[in-house]
Amino acid sequence: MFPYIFALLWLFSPGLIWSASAEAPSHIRAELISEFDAVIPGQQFRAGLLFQPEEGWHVYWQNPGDSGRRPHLTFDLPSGWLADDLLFPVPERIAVGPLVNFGYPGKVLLPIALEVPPSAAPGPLRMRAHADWLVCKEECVPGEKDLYLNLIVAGADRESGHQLLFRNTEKQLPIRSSQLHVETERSDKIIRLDIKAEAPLRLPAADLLYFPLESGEIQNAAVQRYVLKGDHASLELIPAAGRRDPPSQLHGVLVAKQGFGAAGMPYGIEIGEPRAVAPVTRLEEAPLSIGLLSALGLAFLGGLVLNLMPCVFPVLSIKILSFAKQGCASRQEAVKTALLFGLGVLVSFVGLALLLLFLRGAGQELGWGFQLQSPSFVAALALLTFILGLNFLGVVEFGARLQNLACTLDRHEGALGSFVSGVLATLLATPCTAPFMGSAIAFALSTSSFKAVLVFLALGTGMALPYVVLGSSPSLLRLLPRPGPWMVRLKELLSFPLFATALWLVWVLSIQHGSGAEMLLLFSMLLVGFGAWLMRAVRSTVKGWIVILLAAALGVAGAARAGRPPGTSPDSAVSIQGRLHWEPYSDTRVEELKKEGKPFLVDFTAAWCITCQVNKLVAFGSTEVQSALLRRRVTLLRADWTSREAGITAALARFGRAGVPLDVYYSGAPDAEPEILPSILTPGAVLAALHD
Amino acid sequence: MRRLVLILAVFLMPAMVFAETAVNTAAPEFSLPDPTGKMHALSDYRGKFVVLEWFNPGCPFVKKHYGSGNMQQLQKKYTAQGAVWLTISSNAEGKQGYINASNAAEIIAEKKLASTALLLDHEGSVGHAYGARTTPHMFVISPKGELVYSGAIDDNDSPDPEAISSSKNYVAAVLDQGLAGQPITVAATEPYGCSVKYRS
Repeated sequence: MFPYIFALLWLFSPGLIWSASAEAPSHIRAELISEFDAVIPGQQFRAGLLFQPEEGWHVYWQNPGDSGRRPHLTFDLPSGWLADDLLFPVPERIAVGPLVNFGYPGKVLLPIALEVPPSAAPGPLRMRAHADWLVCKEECVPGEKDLYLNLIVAGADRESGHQLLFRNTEKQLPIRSSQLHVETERSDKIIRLDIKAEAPLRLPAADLLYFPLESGEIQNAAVQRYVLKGDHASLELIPAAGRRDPPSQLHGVLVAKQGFGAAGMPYGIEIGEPRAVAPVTRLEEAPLSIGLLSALGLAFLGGLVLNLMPCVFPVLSIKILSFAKQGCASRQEAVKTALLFGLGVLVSFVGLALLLLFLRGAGQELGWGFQLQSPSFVAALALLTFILGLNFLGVVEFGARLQNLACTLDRHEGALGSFVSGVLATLLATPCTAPFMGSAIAFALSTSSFKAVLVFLALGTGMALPYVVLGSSPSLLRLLPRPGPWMVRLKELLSFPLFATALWLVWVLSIQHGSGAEMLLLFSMLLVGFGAWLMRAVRSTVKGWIVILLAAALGVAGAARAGRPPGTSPDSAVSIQGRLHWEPYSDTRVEELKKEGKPFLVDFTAAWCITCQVNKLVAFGSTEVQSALLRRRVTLLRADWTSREAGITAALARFGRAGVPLDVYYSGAPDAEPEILPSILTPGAVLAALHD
Repeated sequence: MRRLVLILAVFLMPAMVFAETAVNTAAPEFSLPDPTGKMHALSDYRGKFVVLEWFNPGCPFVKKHYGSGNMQQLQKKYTAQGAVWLTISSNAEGKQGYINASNAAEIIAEKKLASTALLLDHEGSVGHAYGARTTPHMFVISPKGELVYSGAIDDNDSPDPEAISSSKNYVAAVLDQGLAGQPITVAATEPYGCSVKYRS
C-alpha cells in the first residue's frame, strides 16, 4: 500500500524533492506543500515548509534561543503573485546542557500565505522556493534546498491531501487577543508578568511559558515560575544579564501547552510590540564625527548660551541679586563670591558627568536631562523652587534675618550661598539644550570617562564664565545700581519666576506619573506653606523647618511610589495642536513613511524640556507653519522622552544626540538626507526646511 | 580545600546562573591549560588586547570560518599586531568537539589554527563565567582587563562561507578601533552558531 501511495504522490508532484538524497545525511526531510492543489485567480491560500527531522533532531523557531538559526524560505514567484512572511507555530523549549533553544523537536509545518493574482492565466504551474535551515541534535547540520510546488490555476479550487495538517497547524499559530491582559513589572533581577484572561479565554493551571520573539530580553534557560491565583496569574522571568540595552518592553509569545481554555482556543498569544531598534544598528549608525577639541569648543559655547535659556532664568534672578549685593562689598569679596559661584557650577557639572557615566555604565539608557525623568527628582526640584520662592518673598528665612540683603554680608553664608547657587543653576539648566550642546554631549557619552568629564567641565566653564568675569571686574560692577530698598522689592518680584518653575515641574510630574503623584506633591507644598506660617506664628524657626522638611520628604517619597513603570508612554504623545495632528513616534512608522516616500517631521520632546515647550509654542503654534505643514501633507510624529524610553534614546543617538529638543524633517524625496532643524526653532526655520 | 571548592563547583554547576558578563565591566579572571598542560591565565596577558574565541571543530558555523581561512587570517593579523588570541573549547567529554591532549595536535594541524593558544575548559567553568553560548562566540578584552566586546564574529548568521565576503566583521572592527585607541562603536551583538556542548 505505502509504495503505491508514494508512487502516486510522486506522479502527481513530479517536482517534489526529498532532501534525503544521496549526499551526506541531512537528518531531516524538507518539503513544500500547499493546502490546495488547484487555486483560482484572486484566491489567497496557504502553502508551507514541512520539516520532518529524524528522532532526536530539531529545527528552530523564529527566535532560536541561546544558539541555532531560524529557517528561511524565499519564493521565486511568478509575476503578480504575492508571498507573506513565514509563520511559526508555538515552539517548545529544548534544553542543550545549560542552554535552552526554542524550536520543534519533531514534525513541523511552517505556513506561508500566498496570493494568486486576479490576472493569473489558467493552467499548471511549478513554483520554486529556496529553503535553508539548521537541524541539530547534539551537533548541528545546516541544510539548504530548492523546493518545488506544483499547482494548477483553474476555475474552481481543489483541496490537497494536506488540509488537515494545515488546519491543525493553524491552531498552533500565535494570535493577538484583546481578551488577554498582561502587565509587566520589572526590576533588575526579575520581570513579573501579571496575566489576566477574559472569557472565552482561560488561563491554564500549569504549563504556561513565555517565549521571547527578540533576543537579549530574558535568560532563556532560566526557570519560569508560573502561579495561577483565581482569575490572575503571574509568570516570573529573569532578565538577560549583562546587556547594555535591556529592552524596555517585552515582545514575545505566551504559550499554554494545553491551550487557553476549551477546544478551539489558541495555544499561543503574542504580547508586546516589536522592539524599535536593535542595539547593533544604533551603535553602528551613531555619527559621532567630531573630535575632542571641537567637542570642547562646542560645549563651551553651549554653556555660554545656556545662560540665556528660559530654564536658567530663575537662577539668573538669584545671581543678579548677589551681584547687586556685591556693589558694596570689597573687591576681594566680590571676586571670591564670583569664583565660588563658578566653583559650584563646575563641581555640579562634574558630579552630573560622573553620575551619568556611572548610570550608563550600569546599563541605563540616559541622556542630557536624565534626572528629570525621575519623578522623585522632579518632585524634589519643585519643592526646592517653591521653598526658594517663599524665601524670596520673605516668608521663609534661611537662618539669619533680612540683614544679608544689606551691605553687612555675612561671610560664611555668602560663601556657602554662592556655591549653592552655582549648584542650583546647574540643576535648573539641565532641562535645556542650548544650541551647540547636542553634539558635544553626545560625544561625551560615547568617549572615555576622562574626556567626558572634560567636555562637561567645558560646558560648566562656559556657563559660569560671564558671572566670574562680571564679579571680578570692578568697572563692570560699578554699572549696577547702588544697593537699597529696591533690592528687597526685586527679590520679592523674582520669587514669581521661581513659583512659575515650581508650577511647571508639577505639570511635568502629572504628565509623567499621573494626577495621584501630582496631588501628593501639591499637598506637600501645602504643608510647606504651613511650616512657613508656623515659623512666624510660634516664632520657632526650628519647628517650622521640621514641618517643611517632613513635607518635602513626603512629596519626594510619594512621587517615587506613585510612579508608574516606565514604558507606559504618557498620553501627551498623541495630540492635536491647533490644526496639527501629532502621531506618537515609532521606528516602524518612520520606516513605513520612508518607504512610502511621504514627507514627515519628527519632534523629539519632553515635558520637562522648556526649550521644547517654547519651540512647540513659537514654531508649531504659528498659523503660517501650521498651514505650510497641512498644505504639504507632512505627517507629524512626536517622540515623547518625558519618561525614559530606550527606543527614543536610540533614535536620538542615531542623530548623534543625547537629549532633546531635536526636530528632523524628511522631505520624502528618494535618497534625501533627513534635515536636522535648529535647536531653537523659529517659524522661519521650519518654513525654510519645508522650502515654503 | 581547593579540592572541596572544585567538587562543590561541579556539584553546583547545573544550578549556576548562566549569565553573560556585561561589556565595559572587568573580564572574569581564569586560568586554563593548553593541550600540553601549560597553564594560561588571563592576567598573564594584562596590557594586551585579548580575544576569546569559543571553538568546536565539528560545528558548521566554525567550519564556515575555518574552511574559508577567515578565522586563521584574523588570528594571524591581530596576533602580529600584539593582540593575544585564545581559542577555547568548553565541549565536555563524550560530546561533539571534545578536545584533549591526544586529539588536539591533529585538530590544530587540520584546522591550521593560528591563535596564541588552544585552551581546554572541560568543566565549562570559564564558558559559564563569560556566558559563552555558541561556537563561535567571541569576546574581546582590553589591555586594562575590561570586557569591550561580546557577541558574534560578524553580522551574517548563515553557515554559508560565501556570506563572509559581504559580512561586516565585528571582532576586526573592535580590534582595529581598540588598537588605534579609538572608542569602540559596536560593543555587544547577539552571538550565532551551534550551542557550546557543555557537560549536562
